[in-house]
Amino acid sequence: MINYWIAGIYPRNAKLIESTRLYDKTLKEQFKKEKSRLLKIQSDNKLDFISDPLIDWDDNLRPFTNSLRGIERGPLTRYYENNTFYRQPIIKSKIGTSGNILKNSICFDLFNKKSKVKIDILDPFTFYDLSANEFYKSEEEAVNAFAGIIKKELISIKNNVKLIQFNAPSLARVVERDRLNMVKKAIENIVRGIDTKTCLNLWGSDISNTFEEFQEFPTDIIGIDFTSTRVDRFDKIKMKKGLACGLIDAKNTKMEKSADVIRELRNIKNVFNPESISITSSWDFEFIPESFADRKLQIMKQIKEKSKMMKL
Amino acid sequence: MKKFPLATQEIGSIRKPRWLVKLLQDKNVSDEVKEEARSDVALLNLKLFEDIGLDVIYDGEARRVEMYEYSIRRIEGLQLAGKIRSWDNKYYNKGRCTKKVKYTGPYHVDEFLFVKENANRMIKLPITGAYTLADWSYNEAYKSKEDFTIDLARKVIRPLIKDLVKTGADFIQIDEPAATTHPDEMQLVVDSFNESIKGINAKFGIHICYSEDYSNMYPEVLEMKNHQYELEFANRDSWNKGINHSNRNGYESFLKTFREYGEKKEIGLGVLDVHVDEIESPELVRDRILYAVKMTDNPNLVHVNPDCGLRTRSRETSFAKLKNMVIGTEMAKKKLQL
Repeated sequence: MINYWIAGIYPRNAKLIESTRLYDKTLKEQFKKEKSRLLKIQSDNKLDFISDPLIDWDDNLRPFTNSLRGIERGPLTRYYENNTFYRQPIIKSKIGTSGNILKNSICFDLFNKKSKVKIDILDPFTFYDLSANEFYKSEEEAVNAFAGIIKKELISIKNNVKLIQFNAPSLARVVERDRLNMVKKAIENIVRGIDTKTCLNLWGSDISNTFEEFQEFPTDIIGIDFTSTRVDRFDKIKMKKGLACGLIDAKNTKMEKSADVIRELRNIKNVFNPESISITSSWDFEFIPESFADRKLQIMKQIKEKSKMMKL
Repeated sequence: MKKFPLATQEIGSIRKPRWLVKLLQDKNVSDEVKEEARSDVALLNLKLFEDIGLDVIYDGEARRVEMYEYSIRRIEGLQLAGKIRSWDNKYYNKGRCTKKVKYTGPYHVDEFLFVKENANRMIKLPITGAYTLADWSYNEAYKSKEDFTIDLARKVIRPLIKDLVKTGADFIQIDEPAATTHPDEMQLVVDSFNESIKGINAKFGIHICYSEDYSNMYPEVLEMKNHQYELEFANRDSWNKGINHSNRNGYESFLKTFREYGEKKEIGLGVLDVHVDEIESPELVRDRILYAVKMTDNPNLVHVNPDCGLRTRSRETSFAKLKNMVIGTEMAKKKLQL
C-alpha cells in the first residue's frame, strides 16, 4: 500500500492574500475557516496523513523565531534558492521554549477525529543553519540546543499525531560524515522516548552520495526529493526503512502525468526496495499558486486510484 | 567614459500615491485618464528626485505594476500563473513559460521618452534582466533553464535594449535580483547579461540584491560586460557610525573581494535599508561611503544609492531616506575634498 501526504506550508488563496496585506480584523477567523476547508480537501483527495496547511505561518521558522527565548528577529534572508525570504532568527543567548509553540501554532482543534495527523517541523540542523549564531561556541552545541527545543515541543503534542516529519533542506546539503554523525546523534536524542512514526524529509538536494549515511538516521522513513535526486544514480539496494518519494514537483506549475509518476514509482521501488513507500510533494506547495497546488492534489488522488487498481 | 565620483541615484521603484492606486483600480475611469495620472506621478517623482538633489534619476517606475510582472505581461510565451509569497504578507505575481518566448515590441520606450523630455538630470533606465525573468518563472516550455534564459536574452532583452538605445537611452540598469540565488549558475547570469547587450553601445549597470555573499559572483563576474554594479549592503550592515571593518560588516566581504580582483567597474553602493522605516542618518551614510572609498581607494568607482527600490516604504519615508542619502554624500565629498 502506498501512502500519500503533502509537506509544509500550503499557498494562501487570493482572498487571504488580500486580507493579510490589509491586516483584516477578521483574519483569525478567515484562517480558521480556510484551514478547515484545506483539511477537508486533503481528506477528499484521499491523502493518508493530513497536516495543518500552516497558511498563517509567515515562514517555516516564524512561530519559533517569535517565541523562543534567547532569539531575536533578524533581517529578511533568502530562503534557499527561492525568491522567498524569511526572518532570520538570531541566537543571542541560551535558547529555551515553553514547549507550547507547536501546540499553539497547529490547528489540532480542526482535524477530523478520524484523521491521521502529520506535523511538520524543521530538523535541528536546518534550524541552526537558517539562524545566525551569536551565542553558542560550536555548531554541535547549537544543534543540540535546537534538538532540546524540538524534543520538548514534540513531547507536548506527540499524543495527537501519527507522523512527525522533520523537514531537513539544510541537512540534505551536508556531505561531511562527522557533521552528519553529529546531527544523527541530535536526532537520536529527539526521538528517544517519542514512539510516534518519524520521517526525515531531505528535500532540495541530490542526496545520492550521502544516502547510505542517512539510512543510519533514527527515523522510520527517509524522504527523497526526486525532482533533485535522480534514481539512476543509485545501485539496487534493500532499504532498511520506508521511503517517501517527493515526486510531485512543488516548485513548477507543469502538471505531472499520473502515468509518468507511476512509471517512476515502479522504478524507485525496484531500485530501493523499501519497507514502505509513499508519494509526497517535493517541497512546500507554497511555491506555486493555490489553483496549481489544488490541481496537483487532484493528480495525487488520480495516482492513488490508478496505483491501487494496478496493485502497486 | 566620464567619471562622476559619488553620484547619487535611485534604484527603481517608489511607492505609488494612494490616490493613484485607487484611481487605477476604478473600472469607471478611462484608460486615457489613468495614463494621464501615471504621467502626473512620473513627473512628480522626477521633480521630487531633482529637488532632493539626486544626480541620476528615473520616474520611480510610476507606470509599472512591478518590475517582474510588467515585463511578463509584455513578452509572448509568458503568462501570469498567480501570486506567490515574497515575504510575510508580500506577494508577487509569478509567470509561467508555456511556449518559446518572443519580443512583441519596445515596452519601456514611451516611459523613457517621457522621462527624457522632463528630466533635468542624468537618466538611468531600469529594465528587468533575462536571468531573473527566467529564474522567477515556471519553465514548462524549454528543456533547460539555460535554454530558457539565453532565449530570453537574445530574443527579448537584446531587441528591447536596442530599441531603447535607438531612442536615446545611454545608461541602462539591468535588474537581476535573482543573480546570486543559485551560486552555481553565475556563469549563466554572466552569459545572459552579455548576450543581452551584445553589439550595443551604452553604459550598463547590473542591480543585484539580497545575496548571501556577493563574493560568490567571482571570478565569473569578471567576464560580465557591465560598467557598474548596483548592490544592496545596508540591510546587512550595522547602524554604528565609523569606517572600521567592525562597523561596516555589511560591506567588508564584497569590497575586499572587489579589491583583491583589482576591479575597475563602478559600485552603486546600497546605503539605505529599504525594508525598515528607520531613517539612516547623514553621518551613517557618510561613513558607509567613506568606508567604500577607503576599500576601493578610488572615489570615482563609488556611486551611492538605496539597497533596492523603495516601494515597500511609504513615500514620506522613502524621500526622507533619499534626502539623508544626498546630505550624507555631500558630507563624504567634503571630507574627501571632492
